[in-house]
Amino acid sequence: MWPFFSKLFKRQPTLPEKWKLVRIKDTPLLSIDLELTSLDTTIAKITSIGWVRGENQSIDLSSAFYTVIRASGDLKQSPVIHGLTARDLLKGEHVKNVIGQLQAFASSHVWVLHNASLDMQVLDKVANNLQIPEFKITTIDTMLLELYFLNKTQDMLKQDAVTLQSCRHRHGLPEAPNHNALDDALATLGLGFAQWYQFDKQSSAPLSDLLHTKSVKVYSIGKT
Amino acid sequence: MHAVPQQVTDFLQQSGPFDILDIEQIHDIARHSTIIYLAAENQDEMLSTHKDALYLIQSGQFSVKDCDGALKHLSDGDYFGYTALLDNVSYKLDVTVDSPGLVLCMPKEWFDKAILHPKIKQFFNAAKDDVLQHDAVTDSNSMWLHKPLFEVIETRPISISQTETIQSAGALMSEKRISSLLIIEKNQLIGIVTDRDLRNRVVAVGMDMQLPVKQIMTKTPAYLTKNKTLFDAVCLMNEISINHLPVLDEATNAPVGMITATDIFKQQRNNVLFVISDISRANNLYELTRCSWQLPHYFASSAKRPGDFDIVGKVLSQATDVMTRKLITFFGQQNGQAPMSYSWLVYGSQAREDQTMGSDQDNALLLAEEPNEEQAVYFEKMAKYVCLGLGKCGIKLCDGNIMASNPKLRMSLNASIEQSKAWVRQPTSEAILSFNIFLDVRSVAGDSSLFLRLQEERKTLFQQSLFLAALARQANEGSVPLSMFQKFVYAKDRKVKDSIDLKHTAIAIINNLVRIHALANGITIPSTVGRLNALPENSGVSSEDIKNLRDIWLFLNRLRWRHQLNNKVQDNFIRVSDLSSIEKHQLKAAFQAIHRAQQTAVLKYSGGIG
Repeated sequence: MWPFFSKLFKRQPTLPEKWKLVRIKDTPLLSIDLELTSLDTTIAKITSIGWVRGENQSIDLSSAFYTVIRASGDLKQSPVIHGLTARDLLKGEHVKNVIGQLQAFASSHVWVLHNASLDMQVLDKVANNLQIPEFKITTIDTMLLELYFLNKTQDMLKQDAVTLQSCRHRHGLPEAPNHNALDDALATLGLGFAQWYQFDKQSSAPLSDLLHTKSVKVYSIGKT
Repeated sequence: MHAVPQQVTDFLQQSGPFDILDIEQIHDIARHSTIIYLAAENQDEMLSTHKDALYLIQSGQFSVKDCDGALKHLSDGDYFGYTALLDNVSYKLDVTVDSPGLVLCMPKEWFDKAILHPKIKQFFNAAKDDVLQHDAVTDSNSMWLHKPLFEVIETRPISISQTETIQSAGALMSEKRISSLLIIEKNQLIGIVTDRDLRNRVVAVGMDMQLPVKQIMTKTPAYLTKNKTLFDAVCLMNEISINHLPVLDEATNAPVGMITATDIFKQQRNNVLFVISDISRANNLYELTRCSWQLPHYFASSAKRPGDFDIVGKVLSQATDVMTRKLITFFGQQNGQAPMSYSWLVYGSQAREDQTMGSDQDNALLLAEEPNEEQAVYFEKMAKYVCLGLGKCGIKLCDGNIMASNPKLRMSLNASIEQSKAWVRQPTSEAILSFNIFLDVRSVAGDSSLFLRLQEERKTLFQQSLFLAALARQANEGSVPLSMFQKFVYAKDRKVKDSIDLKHTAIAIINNLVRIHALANGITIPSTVGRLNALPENSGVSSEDIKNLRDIWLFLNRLRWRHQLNNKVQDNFIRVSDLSSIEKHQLKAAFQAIHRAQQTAVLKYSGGIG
């Protein structure tokens, strides 16, 4: 019995104090997406990062950011999909500089991702390699939130039921071009707005209300 | 680094007039915009936080009332808020969220920069005034052809009495620097004298210049009334080879001016019309079919400019008219004169002069009286010859057998009048569908006075209010292909998914509406634009609405023509993906205006009982 509870606690680290009582609507959000060379987190490298900030169901487009990450080693096949050439990747920014910026966002914003665990594992690996001391990131995962909605209504889910496009489609949002980190970040935040509206139409619920949907998680990044 | 998401750039480029901005300007706008999720519960807060903006809908459905305008149902690709921005004041926007969605807010500062571009400003001004943007029409190279003659005639007619001497006529022409004179008696036109008459009939033969001018004038010259268009003038002058055409008032027949070849050349920039002169020069069926088969090829190669689309329908109809007259002449040469007077009538698109390359022939014979057996045989032969001849010239035979070769469509004047009375007595919806086509009619050959008598007899008949009410109700049955939230409704069962049947769901509705206004006002000309131009001031249709309907009608026909030429087809199903984003908005605005015009007509003629 006890190991079961301990596992449960680990899975659901408590929200940092500062976010506990904040309404979803008043939470500063950073929607972010990493493009990777592989879905296997043990070998995946970041090829590009995009993000955009939002709050109160508004997306501030002046905050839109995109950068290509300087490559080293084997690129696998992914860059072809993302429209980046090996040459682009050689000209890119060093990942260390970007991590610096992201550290600041870790405490000031709640991050919004579609399938957060993948990106968080890769970010953790990169931070460890760079010997960056531990920091915590609070995330809302639009993919998990969608699963929460779907599990309430459907028994069987199709394999592609929770891709970013299918989720947007389900919420009546327009198609967005795939496979660019910034575009995916923007598409994810739009999806988030639609989901939170479905979750709480009056948008008065605090962020902690989302905990039971299992879409809110706190990740520990960097060297412990 | 700062960046602009591709989907925002795409959205701005695909929306309304912004596609004409260059990419830097689009990026600038994008960087300064905000995307909001607009829902019923947050709209008050959202719209006050992001006030003074242009709202571009990315998803969702909204019902918006801008200042005191009409309620509009909007969805993706639509805008609101521009009225306040253009007027530079803050109106309270009245928005009802029917289904929540993402809306891009473009701040006023950036909207103001965008409308420095005149096309964008014009677009939003037109949207604000709720009129179709006239760009498509006024930009056209051929618009001048649609001008009614009264708009073209600049000076009062210069005339002289028939009793004046030839010399004084010459002196007057020299003084006024003109090449022709009207000869007028009691304010009616009785003749015309031109430079050529002075040369050929006076100088060349040494005639006494003190003789009265009536000795050399051309008596009862061809003329047009001032409500006709320049196009009509060009066609007539081409067909009968004249350079001077008197213009009369349609009501009093008093001369009001003269159109000369020079006037036309001054306005003309292209030669799409001269295909007709070739057809009129044909001497036999072989030559005629050979010229006629050039028509589609000719249009495909020389009517490619956007402005040419407006007149091709008219050119084709006029060409078909000339072919018909030629065929009747050839038949007469082989079979002798007709045994009684008759009038060759054309219906539908040929009558309205909006024929397309896919239009089939619709025609009939109106006979002075019931023919005896022998006479009937003559007209049967003639009808068959002409209809088949037109078929050989590329004008398709009519599937519905609305052709003079059908014995039911060779009627005496009296029988025709009786038939019209029957229509008016029982205007059921089905009956209207079958006789509607006969209400757009023109006489293109034979004795036109016969046709005028028919028109005269029917005029008051067709003005009966119950009849007009039935027509108005019927016209209201067709609906434009727009959903409640202004999305295009595509035609069913088409291979191309985004097809819209422009003919049946838009152009035909305007034709029907304009026909009703014309009948109500006793206007007998069949062309839709002609009818609109001829509507009197007290017709009950505002001059704004008239202009709007005319522009919309031209715009739609132009889209159809471009579709037929570019896609090398003869159908009426335009594809939305072929349209620019401005055109999509214009098309929606056009459909909305047609819908309003339908409602107005039902109110006016059927007391609102649709």
